[in-house]
Amino acid sequence: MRALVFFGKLLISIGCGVILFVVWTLWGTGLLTEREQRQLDRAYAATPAVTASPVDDAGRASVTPVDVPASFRPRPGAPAFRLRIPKIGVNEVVVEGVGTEELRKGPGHYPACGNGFEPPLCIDGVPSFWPGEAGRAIVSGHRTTYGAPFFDLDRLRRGDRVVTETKWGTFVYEVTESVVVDATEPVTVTPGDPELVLTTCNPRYSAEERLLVYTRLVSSS
Amino acid sequence: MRERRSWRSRLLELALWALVAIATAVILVVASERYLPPNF
Repeated sequence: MRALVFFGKLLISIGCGVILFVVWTLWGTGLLTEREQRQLDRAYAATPAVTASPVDDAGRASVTPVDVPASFRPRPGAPAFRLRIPKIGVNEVVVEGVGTEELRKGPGHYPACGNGFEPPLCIDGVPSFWPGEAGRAIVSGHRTTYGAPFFDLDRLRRGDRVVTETKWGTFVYEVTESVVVDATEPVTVTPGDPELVLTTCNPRYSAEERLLVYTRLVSSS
Repeated sequence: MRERRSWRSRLLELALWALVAIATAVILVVASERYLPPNF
């Protein structure tokens, strides 16, 4: 009888532990991210403006892309630009890097390797593109934990606006398509039309797949 | 006849089970951060 009572109490305690874990994961982590975002907001405001030069792409893109100077290389976890998606209420400072530590602070810009970034969580061999540049910029974000900035990413439809406010201008993108791929499938980065790809885990509360939202640049200022 | 336990002993037992619950939560948090992809 005593053993049974002990076992029962043990199960209740472990159950309470599981509940604590769920509460921490879904809500507690969000408080950490909220605090980090407040600090990032101040740091980003203090970041000096960057002069980007327009690129002559022979009229290929409808909006003239820019070339961000190579000297703009934020350290891992440093603020890179601001991302706003009015339809799903996203207004976050994007940090440089997509590692565990960086994504705890907010959505992360997929960086080029080097400067403190190691494969596989960086782009090796080809340059990483910034918003407004002639290539594919990639931003990854949490779906269910750490503030879940991309919780509603699946609600975006063709034509919805995604705004990036950078230190070299404001770039407005429009959603072209959403696709769900296997979690192991890599997102390719190639020079070309100015694109922004938003990625997150799919479905919610699972890491089986990855949701990719493709957008194209429609205006800049 | 059931033995009567002091409130101190009951409190100690409660603290022990609370510790088990916290340890379970910590193990789960560490495991989830190690094995889940960063953008979960």
